[in-house]
Amino acid sequence: MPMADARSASAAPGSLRRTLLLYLGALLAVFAVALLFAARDYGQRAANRSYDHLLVSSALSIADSVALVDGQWQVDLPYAALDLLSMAPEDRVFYRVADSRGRLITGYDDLPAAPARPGARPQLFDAAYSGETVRFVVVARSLASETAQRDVQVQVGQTRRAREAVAQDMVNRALLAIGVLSLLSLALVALGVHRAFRPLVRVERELSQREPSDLRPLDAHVPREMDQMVAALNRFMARLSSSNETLRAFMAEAAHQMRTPLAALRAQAQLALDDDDPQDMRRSLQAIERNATHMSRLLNQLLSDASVIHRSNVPRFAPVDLAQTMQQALHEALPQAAPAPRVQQLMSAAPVWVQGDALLLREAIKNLVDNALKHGGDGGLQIALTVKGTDALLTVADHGPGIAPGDAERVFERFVRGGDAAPGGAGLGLAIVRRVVEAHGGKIDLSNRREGGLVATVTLPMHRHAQDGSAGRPPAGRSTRSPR
Amino acid sequence: MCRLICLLLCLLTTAPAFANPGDVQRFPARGERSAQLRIHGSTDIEVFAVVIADYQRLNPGIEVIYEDIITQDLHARYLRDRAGPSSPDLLISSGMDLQTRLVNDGHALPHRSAQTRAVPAWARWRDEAFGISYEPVVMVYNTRTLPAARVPHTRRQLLDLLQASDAPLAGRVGTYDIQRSSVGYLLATQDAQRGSIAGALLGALGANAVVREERTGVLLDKVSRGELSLVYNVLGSYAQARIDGGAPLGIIEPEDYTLVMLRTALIPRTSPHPEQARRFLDYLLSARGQQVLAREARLMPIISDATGDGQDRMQGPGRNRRPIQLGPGLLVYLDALKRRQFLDAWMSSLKPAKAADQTVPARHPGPH
Repeated sequence: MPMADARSASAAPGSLRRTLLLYLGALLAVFAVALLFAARDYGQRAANRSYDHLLVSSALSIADSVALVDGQWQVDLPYAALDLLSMAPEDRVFYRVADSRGRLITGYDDLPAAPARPGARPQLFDAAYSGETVRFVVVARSLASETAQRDVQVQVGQTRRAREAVAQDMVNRALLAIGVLSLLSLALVALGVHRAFRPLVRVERELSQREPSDLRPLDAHVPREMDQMVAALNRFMARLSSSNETLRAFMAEAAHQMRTPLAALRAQAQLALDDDDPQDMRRSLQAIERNATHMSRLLNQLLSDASVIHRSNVPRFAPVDLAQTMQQALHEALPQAAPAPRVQQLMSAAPVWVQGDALLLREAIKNLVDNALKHGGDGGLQIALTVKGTDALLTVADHGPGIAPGDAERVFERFVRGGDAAPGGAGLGLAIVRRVVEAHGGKIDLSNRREGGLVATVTLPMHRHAQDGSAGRPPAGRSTRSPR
Repeated sequence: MCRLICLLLCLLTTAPAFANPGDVQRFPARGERSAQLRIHGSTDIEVFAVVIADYQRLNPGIEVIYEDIITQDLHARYLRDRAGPSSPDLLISSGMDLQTRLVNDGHALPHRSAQTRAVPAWARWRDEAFGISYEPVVMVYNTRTLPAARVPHTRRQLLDLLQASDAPLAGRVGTYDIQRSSVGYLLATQDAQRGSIAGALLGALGANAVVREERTGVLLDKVSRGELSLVYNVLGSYAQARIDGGAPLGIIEPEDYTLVMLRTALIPRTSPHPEQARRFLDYLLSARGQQVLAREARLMPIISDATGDGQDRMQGPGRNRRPIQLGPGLLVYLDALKRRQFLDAWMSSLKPAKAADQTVPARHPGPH
């Protein structure tokens, strides 16, 4: 049970709106975090770039002020060298001028050393000093004196407050932009979703305001994405409408069909009441009996039709042995009493498996045989069940007058009978057969035989699974059974 | 070795002056003592006692110990004794450069409060050094010996007066001895990098046999007595105090530019009672503290009563005040090599052919 619940919960998407907002929100959040890191990185680079320029200029101007006079180092620290660095107003400044052996000439003696030996290019690095992270630059310069060439190193450092402030400012601006953007896009999404769902609401309102009998197609203007759904809905309503129509026509026709034999019954019954002659009375009673039989057959057909309609709408298909079903149908359809018609059967001994509803198939075969008996004249019937490729072929041939080419399709409609059909049929039999056959994915053909008579051929696809087994093979031997 | 001699000389020359400011004064708590606050300041005790007394009226439980020390000693002593038992909680000094150096080298505790935020940006650095009062750097003259018509109002006019044919200021002009006075040194360096006239002025001062003194009080006393007619680059507040006391003095704020110096306070990292220091600093920067500084101690308040912004007082009719900026720029002239070069240059500018007899030993105070 919990499994089923879970499945139904995952199958039902819940609120579309919430789902959309959730996904977009998650996307935005990921985007925002990425942007934040990018802004922080960019801010730090930008801050370093601008303040590093100052730091390098400061170090270079100090290096310019170093002189070697009589073997003594002289440093005339330029005021601008350090004042320049107060562009970062809150930052502390450290400097150190040392000779090539690292001996202090002036400044702070304990500044951290550069990670690599200073070369011609200014070397920039961060290091901890005096309780803070400090950005340092080291520049080296060669000075020529009269005796020798000597190197001097200038190191200038500045705490990172202004840099961090620039980076933080960048992050803050990015945060603001991200926040505004996120809110805007969420609002936009909410609005879009609201607008997108408006046609759905319209369809819902239109449907809920309709009379139950109103099955006209929806004329709501819907976006392209919903065309399919509305079209499907309209198709469904059209089917419903047509089936309603059929049902109404059927009822009217059935009532009409019942009324004629009933009227005849009443007339003959009155006739019989008025008759004094036992002979005449007996004749009238016979007519009454005939009409009652006809009516009972008509009612049977109507019932059969109703059950076929019901069952073919809700198919419960299972593998069915067509041969066995056919035997049962014949047993029920062929009159047990004399005069027994001549029936020639060509049947498979092995089962012929089709995917279908046994009751429907039996009903169809019964009607087919019934129809042949009724209209097939006295020449006897030939009934065969054969396998052709992946199809099962069921043929019922008679020796009747056949069918006019114009009627070949019409006879499958309800209450339509062949132009020269013998009286006594309601015109439902072939309609039932076709409905069942089509519900099973097969087809039915009527054709006139060259030697006279009509042959009805029903083609049903065989059950694929059963086909693979030995039972589904075409019958090894054919037996001709004489009618009982 | 040279340093040791310098140090000894320095101590010898400053020793008498050192006793003069009255060293240490204890202001016992008015009520039951709950806390102690130790201040090292370069402001005279007599001046600052008023402020402390007012603070103790508000906080009767606080015992305050104030040591009056001249600026360079204040700095040197802090660096030497900061780990000791009498380490100060608050350093208040007019040596802006030395205070800046302490902050730059990481010796100060940051302090942020409503009061510190009211301090204009030019008067604080890193929330660690705060100006508590400002001092225009002025010329002071004796109204009796210098006729009003000849009083100079710019450095150019002073130069003209010094070079006048009748030599009215010969031997009668004075300024700080920048070798001994760190405030004098700071002002001289500011002049040097600010005005092109500084060199000529220095030469003219030398030609007039300028009298150099270490302390402001001595210079002003000499002007009051008429021994000197004019002193250049002294703190205006001291002169104003003497004028209020009846001395025949006049104050000139040079119109080309008037340097403005800050008296700055900072809380050292080694402070034993940093919370007390913060409270006292907040008091100094509060409206009441600033009023007491202005009215009783005659120190110019950093926070203006009207607008809370001191900038408007920097400009005005006949005023062109240029505050000395706190910040790394002040470190330049503290560089040992730079200082030696500057002092050498200063001395040689002061020593014209005429003043060859005035042999001044090249004395360097101990390094800070």
